[in-house]
Amino acid sequence: MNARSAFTSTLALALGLVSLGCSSKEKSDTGKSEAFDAKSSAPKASSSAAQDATPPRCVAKAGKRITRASAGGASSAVELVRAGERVLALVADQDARALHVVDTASMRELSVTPLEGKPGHVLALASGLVAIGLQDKGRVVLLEPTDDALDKPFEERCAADVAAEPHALAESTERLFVTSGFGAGLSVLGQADLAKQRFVPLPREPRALILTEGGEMAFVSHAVGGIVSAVDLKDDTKPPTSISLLAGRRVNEKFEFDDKSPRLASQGHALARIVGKRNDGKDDVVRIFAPHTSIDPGAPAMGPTISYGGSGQGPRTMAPLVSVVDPGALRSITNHVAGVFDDNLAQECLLPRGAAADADGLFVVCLDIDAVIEMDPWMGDPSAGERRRIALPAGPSSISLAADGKRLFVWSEMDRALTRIERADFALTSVPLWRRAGEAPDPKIERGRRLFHTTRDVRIAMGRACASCHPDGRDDGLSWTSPDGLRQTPMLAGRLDGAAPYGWYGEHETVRVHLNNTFARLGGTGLEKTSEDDFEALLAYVASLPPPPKEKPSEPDLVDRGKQVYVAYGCAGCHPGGGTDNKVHDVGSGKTGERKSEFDTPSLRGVRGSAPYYHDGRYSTLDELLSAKDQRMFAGTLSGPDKKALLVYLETL
Amino acid sequence: MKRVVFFCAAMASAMFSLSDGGAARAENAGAPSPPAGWEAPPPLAKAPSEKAPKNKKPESPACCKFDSTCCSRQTTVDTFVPPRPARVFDVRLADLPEAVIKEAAKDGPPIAGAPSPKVTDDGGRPFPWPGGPQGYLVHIVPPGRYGSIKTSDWWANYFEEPEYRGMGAGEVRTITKESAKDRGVGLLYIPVEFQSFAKGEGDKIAFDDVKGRLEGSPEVKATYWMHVEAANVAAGIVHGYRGPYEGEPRASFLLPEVILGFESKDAKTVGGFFPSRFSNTVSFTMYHLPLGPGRSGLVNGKIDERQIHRWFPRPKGAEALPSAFQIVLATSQTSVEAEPRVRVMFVLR
Repeated sequence: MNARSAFTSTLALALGLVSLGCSSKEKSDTGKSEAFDAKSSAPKASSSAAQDATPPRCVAKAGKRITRASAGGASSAVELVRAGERVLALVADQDARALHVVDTASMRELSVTPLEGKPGHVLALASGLVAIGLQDKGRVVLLEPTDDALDKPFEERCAADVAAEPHALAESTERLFVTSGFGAGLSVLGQADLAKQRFVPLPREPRALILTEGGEMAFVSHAVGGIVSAVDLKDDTKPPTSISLLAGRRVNEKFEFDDKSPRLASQGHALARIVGKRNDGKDDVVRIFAPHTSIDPGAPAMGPTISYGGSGQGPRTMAPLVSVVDPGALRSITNHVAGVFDDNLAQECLLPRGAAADADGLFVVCLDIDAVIEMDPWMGDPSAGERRRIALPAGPSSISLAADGKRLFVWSEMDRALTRIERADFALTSVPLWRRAGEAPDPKIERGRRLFHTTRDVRIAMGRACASCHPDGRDDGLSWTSPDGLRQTPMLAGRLDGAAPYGWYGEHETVRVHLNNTFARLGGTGLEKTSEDDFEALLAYVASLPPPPKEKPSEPDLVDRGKQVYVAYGCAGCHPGGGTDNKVHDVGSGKTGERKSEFDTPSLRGVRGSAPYYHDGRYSTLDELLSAKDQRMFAGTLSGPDKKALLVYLETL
Repeated sequence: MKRVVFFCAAMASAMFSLSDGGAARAENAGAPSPPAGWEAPPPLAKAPSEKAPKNKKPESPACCKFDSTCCSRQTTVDTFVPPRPARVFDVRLADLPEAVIKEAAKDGPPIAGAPSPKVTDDGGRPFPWPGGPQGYLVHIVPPGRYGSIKTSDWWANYFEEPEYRGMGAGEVRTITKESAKDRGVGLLYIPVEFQSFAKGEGDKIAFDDVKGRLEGSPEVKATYWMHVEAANVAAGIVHGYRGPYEGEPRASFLLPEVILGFESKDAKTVGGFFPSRFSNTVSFTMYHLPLGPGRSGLVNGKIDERQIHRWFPRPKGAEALPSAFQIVLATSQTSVEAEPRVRVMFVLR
């Protein structure tokens, strides 16, 4: 932002803003509870629910045609239901925006229900309805099968807006729980009408969700941040507990343990649990499994490193980890990661995306190595107790264990195939599911998608994937040591188009040049020498990554005012429309020893969900950044109301 | 005693790099057709886990045509064989006998009944030596078949079998002119600590940990004595017991010498061999893993048939084991679980 113009603009707008500040409505402390549509949205006119005006709206009209047939645990994109004598798999298909029904005995697809958005997980409710979160719509819908055979599309019974990007689901005593990824929270809805009962703000990128048997506690994993949040569902006044996942000891450049800068956990997309006899005699959850990746982003004190993170000595920068969370003490009992000493070229599970467990085994679905790994659940780090590795169609991302424990079902999103695994002999049967006619995926982008998510291609990196630092094309919320010093991982999704130059120093004119530099830093041998097609495919995929979904503004007046502040303080000078001016600027953020003082202007799209901030991640929140005394992005200091309005506006970008 | 919870019977042949379990594609003949607006996708390029055709030479990575570094690394990745458990043992806490610890009161009498070291001269003659010890050295060794002993600043390993004595012969004291006069008694006024492993009842190992002094004879004036008959918990390779270590409750395991690997922060190790520590060969390995609600620990190490051969004979009829494998020991317990879980795994890597 240009400091001079900011100063004059500030003066010009000062009076006007005062009056706006007086008239703006108060917002909740968190701002999150306003993420809901105040009224549950009415069913679409085309749905049969539109004809049903009497509450409760969210009921199965034809009675209970299905019952849940998945083992308890976290929801998934695959849900098993019993309909009469048959067990059917419901598959939430993001790419085709559909819900598939597959007969698990014959592994034949029976029907498909088109959805108006990209589904996250699917959950069969005790009421006989099926809940699905539509991630790009910020909406939860309840569907009902329209025939006993489930060979016809389901009908929508009701829907409600929730915080952006609904992902995982759980139910308990007529309540429906929904995690929202970019919306960063847990919604509690009444099942009868999907009315909002509670919204619990959570740290960044919530993903999987597990409840205790009585529904007293909810446990939520986070794609970034290395924590599991524990939410007390009995007491609304209790703030969530952040359970830190201990990711092992860092080894420094002298090959000594460095306990001042421990390794960190990331990639928390999945949870699983075991229910057993507790020491108080009750049957409830005794272990919760949180598959993660243990990472060494480097110790800031050691200065520049040749790669991103690590110490250049010994343990690998990324290693598989399954933390065991103690549901009673609300802490991780895992304090070790044996896998850090494995070879970088070993095929390890570094992108865990789904998990299911019972007392006989823990199954973790690994997106990067196209496999599900069976582990011993009774170890402090089950990943050290690998029993079996089962290769699957490409892109496995969700798993469901049958209630009888005899079969597992895995959805492979890249090959778009559902696989049945017989637990007795590990026989596999896979079936590709229907797709929308005329919407065959772009093979170039699909190839790029696979390259983005593989940890097995040494041209890209040694023992990590693009998605290791950019889960879902976003960022890992970390700052890594690098040859240039500490560098915060930038978000890619929706931020690359027209955002040249690239890199924090803005030294790379194109994404291609920047990627070449990144491959080298990650120890990759590069794509250019070996396959131009692969390079183009990866570039095409990265360019196709959709930006995070926008939150519906809860206080439009405040947003308008924030926009005026944005302009008045000159933010729009460098970040026009929330984007970038494609230039580098010295905003006083450089530190002694850095080779340049000017840094690339980052796009602010999705900025509310991309903490920490500045090139070295020195500010953990936007509030902190805007309040910083050392910032030179704009002159002066924001008043409290201005800052509040600006923060609300930034959240809409 | 122990429960084998998982066993790949045909260990060598049935070990898989990637389980395929008879992969198949679903039969689609007679399957419902997609409704209007939908289409059936092309069949999967290959069924999951399809094995490479037999006798077909594995293909080199595509980058081998262009880049030797890429070729070498990618080949390593492509041919990676995941770890495969050969045996898994679910050890119950009740399987682990509790160690008995005795400590003498300060300035009180020594502990009665504690085992003493064996003391001989170069001629192999035990104390007493009416004419004084013969030869150059007096040997002070633990009473069991294996162990380690300390009479000064350093621990000395001990193997009872003569063929391994070169790898550890216990502690020695140099015979002096005075030794002839006092019949060697003067050599035996020393502090002593030792750990001793002897054959116990059945397939158990008797383990003694003793601290005290020699005061003119081999009979130790013990101030500390821990004794346990450690139970065989894993194929005669791993014996375990319960007892405190460094003041904390632990599941402790006795093994032959192993090449040490990973140790979690709360795990404690005695013995073993870790090349980068420049340690010499040792006669045993002990792992002490944490026990209790909210605790977990894990260690691993490599062991081969030479090391197993040097240890106590395995029980008769014990099944064959691979020539070399990794041993994994783990303990864990959440606060809501009634007792800890203890695992011993033999893993092929």
